[in-house]
Amino acid sequence: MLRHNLKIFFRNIKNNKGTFLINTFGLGIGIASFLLLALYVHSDLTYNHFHDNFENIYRVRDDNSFQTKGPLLPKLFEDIPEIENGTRIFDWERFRMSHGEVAFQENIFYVDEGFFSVFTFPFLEGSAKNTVKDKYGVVISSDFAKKYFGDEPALGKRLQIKFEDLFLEVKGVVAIPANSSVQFDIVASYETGEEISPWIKDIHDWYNLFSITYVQLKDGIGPEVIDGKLQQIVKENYLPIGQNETVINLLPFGEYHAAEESNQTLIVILSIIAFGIISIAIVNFINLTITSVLSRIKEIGIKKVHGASRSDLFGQIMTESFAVSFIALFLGLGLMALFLPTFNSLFDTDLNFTPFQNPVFLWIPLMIWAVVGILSGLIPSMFWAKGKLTESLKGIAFSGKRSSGARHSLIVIQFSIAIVLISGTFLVRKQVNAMMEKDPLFDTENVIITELQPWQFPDMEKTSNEYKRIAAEIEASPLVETVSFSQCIPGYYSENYNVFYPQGDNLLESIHLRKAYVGENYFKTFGIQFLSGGGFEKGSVNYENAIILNKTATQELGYKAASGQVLNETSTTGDIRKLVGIVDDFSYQGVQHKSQPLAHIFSEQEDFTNWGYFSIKARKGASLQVLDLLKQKWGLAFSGIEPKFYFANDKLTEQYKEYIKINTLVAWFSILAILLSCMGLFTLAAYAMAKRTKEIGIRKVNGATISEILILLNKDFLKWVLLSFFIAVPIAWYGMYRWLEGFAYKTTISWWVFGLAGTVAIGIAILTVSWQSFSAAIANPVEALKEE
Amino acid sequence: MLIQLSNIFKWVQQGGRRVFLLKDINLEVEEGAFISIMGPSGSGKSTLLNVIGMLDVFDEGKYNFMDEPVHQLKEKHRSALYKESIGFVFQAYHLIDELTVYENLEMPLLYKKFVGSERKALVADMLDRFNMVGKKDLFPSQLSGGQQQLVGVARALIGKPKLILADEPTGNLNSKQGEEIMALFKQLNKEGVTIIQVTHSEKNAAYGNKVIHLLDGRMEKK
Repeated sequence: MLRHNLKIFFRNIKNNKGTFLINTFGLGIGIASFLLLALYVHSDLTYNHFHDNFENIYRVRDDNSFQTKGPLLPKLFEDIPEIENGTRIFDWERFRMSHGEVAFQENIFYVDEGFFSVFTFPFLEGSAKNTVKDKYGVVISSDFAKKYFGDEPALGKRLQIKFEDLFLEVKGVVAIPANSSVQFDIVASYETGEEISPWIKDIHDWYNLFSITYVQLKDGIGPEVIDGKLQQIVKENYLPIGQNETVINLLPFGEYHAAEESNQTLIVILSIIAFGIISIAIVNFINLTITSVLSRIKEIGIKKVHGASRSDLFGQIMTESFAVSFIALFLGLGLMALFLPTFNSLFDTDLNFTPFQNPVFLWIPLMIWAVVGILSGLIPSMFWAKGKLTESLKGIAFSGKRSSGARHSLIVIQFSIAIVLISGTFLVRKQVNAMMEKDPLFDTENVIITELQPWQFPDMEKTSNEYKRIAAEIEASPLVETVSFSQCIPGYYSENYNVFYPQGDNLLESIHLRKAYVGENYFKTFGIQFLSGGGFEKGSVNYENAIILNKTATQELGYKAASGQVLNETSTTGDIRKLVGIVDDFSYQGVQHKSQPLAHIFSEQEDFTNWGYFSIKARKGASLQVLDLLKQKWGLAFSGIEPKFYFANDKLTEQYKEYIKINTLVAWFSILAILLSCMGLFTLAAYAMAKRTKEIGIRKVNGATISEILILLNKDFLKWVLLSFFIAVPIAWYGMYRWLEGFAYKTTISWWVFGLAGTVAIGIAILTVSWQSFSAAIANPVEALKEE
Repeated sequence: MLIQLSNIFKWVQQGGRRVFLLKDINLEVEEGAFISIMGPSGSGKSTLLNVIGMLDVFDEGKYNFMDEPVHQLKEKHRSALYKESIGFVFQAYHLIDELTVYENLEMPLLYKKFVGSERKALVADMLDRFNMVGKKDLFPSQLSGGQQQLVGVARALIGKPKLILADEPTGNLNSKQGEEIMALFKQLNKEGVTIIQVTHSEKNAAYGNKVIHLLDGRMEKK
């Protein structure tokens, strides 16, 4: 019997290749998209889960700051026995590392002994036991190993520090999963770090926040148990002793990714898209299966007459629906495997489909198979059971008119989803454009930046002199207005904060300012406008201790103008900073973030290799010539070393990359959604036209024109698409509103976003339906009427 | 007595009024009979045939088939009963397009739960008997109308039914093909199969040994 059923199934496919292909490919695409998005979402939701002690790990916070004080962890171990393990991470050190000819600047992490027992990264070479304990022993990531040693084993290999006679030895290689919050290239012990850079010891005091602290609590101990002890440590140790109001708190590592790193709105959006697409695809599939099965109602009638029982027929249709959905599932898995690499490179992810290691992904496809198979089998078999035998022999599927409501509600659901996605695409694009087009309030066209990267050069003094010479020569060029050295550039300001105490009567007792060290002519070079005062120009004025604040900072402090107000840094008796100018809130970071109070501190350097960037403001229209000049001078001074040049807005634009990515993602899936919806509409229309052949014939015989018939047929479908538009708009609006909440600078949700999405959807729907209705309308009525 | 219909009524509601499809039908059919039902379009011939074949229900009256009271049987028993004892032949043949001649013949046996070897033997017999061995792997669309109807008859016979119901079996055929089918029926009847056919043609009706005339759902008294 199964053989018989499968035989009929395959012969039916052969006779209806078109329908079969649309059907399986539609569902296949849906499954593939769903799985891709599910992989993404799953990887996000299971961030850090690979650590054995995952549930007992906490990240320590000083109030809201994830940077903690250096002596805290040793003190925690001493005072709180509930803490089983822990580690600090010091991630501020960068220097040149080389192995033979291979050299890069690397960010090395210094960690405590507990690092590899708190975090159980899988070791590819070496083991967690004897790793960073040894002085100058390091553990590297597999990427790092590949970069320096290729496919050779890394264990025992040595890495030169800077150009010194100091070497690090590789004691282990770990594979760091992509969904790990702790990502590193190379780690060494604190002892090693303090040996290489003795200054690290100095900043590990009860004032500075330079280290990250993780603790692992004993099983069954929650953070609330040790809360009292934590605050006691603050009271007894934090400066000024007894008066410090800081609250130490522990954030469960399980919540860290969602709270700090991941864009939760995006995850929600992606989940909705995933379910939206798969529902559209499943609905289509069921619809199409029903339609094609109904066209075989006669076959069922014949079988019934010849003794087929209900369960025989039920068995047949179930076999068929499970077989088709299996083919679709198979296709879906194939398509997913095909597009996974593209998806990974497009969205900068490292997703893998490993159903046997990750049973969730074994269950998801099986569930889809079961759901689709059962639904697309059950629904038509219900029709069959109800059908009157004498009618089904004539090929009449249903007597009566009902059921059109149910089928059309499917169109409404599909198109609502599609319209929400399409309008979402437009809005995300609009927001990205708004951010990119917002006047950053600095010169984006004429400023050329050189990233200095002095770590590449062995001789610092020579390098410093070359920097100085090149700068002077460039400044002398008639093509150039000004030049400037700085530690930061718009688009890249370091996360360096300190407390400042304004003198005299003020709105605030103290203020946290983000600090930036810049050299002379910084504001002039970048064309940043002063709202009041001025400063840091090249010339005779001594700007030592001078500070320039941005508008946000002065607003918070209540300063109307820069008139020599004085602030003390770090404490009320700390270094004096004198306010000489106020600059506008230029975009020193992406405008998705709120402008923070910002302090520019004037800095002069004897050694020019201490600077991070060298910026040139070219005269209008001369930037390309200046770039050539710069390249030429650079090449003469440092032949063989590739410099990094870019224009001032490049770094800022990078901040919007993520949103462009989201835009691409939403765009792709809205195209898929509308495509799938149209597939569904297409088959529904085909079915409806077939049912109305006779009616069309009669109307034509009685004088209806082709266009009148087209309007009649299309109207029936378009009213449903129109309805879905009105359902989609409020949903889309709400989604957009929520998404935009995450942006400091947001675009308006214009009506055209919806209008355009609706027009696109309706336009495509008209084309789809017309394809079918046109052939029905031009058909010879004689043919149509003969049927009866 | 094979079939006994007494006071059978069948109607549909149309605009609040009853429209009778069958009105007070009384009919007895002995085993071995060959009956032709005649009448103009819409007189209820096919309806009567469907009622006899248990494909359709009736609203009033009694129907005994081989002394089983059909009007009291549950759907399940009823279908078991016709599955066992009745073979159908249709005007439009109603072969399954996706199945070959061989598979079309085999299909009813599948539902009667014959095992593979039995099915093979029965189908082979039937192919032999109808001289269709050479055509067993063809699909219905590759056969002429007459050949298709031959398959239809063979399929009706394969379960060894007591009764064959034929609804205008020659309606779609040309006269020569029609005659062949009727000759076949005659032959079958001689072999002991009871046949009830619906027909428009006096000539075909003459093959049987009894003719019933229907008009507006009523049997015309002769």
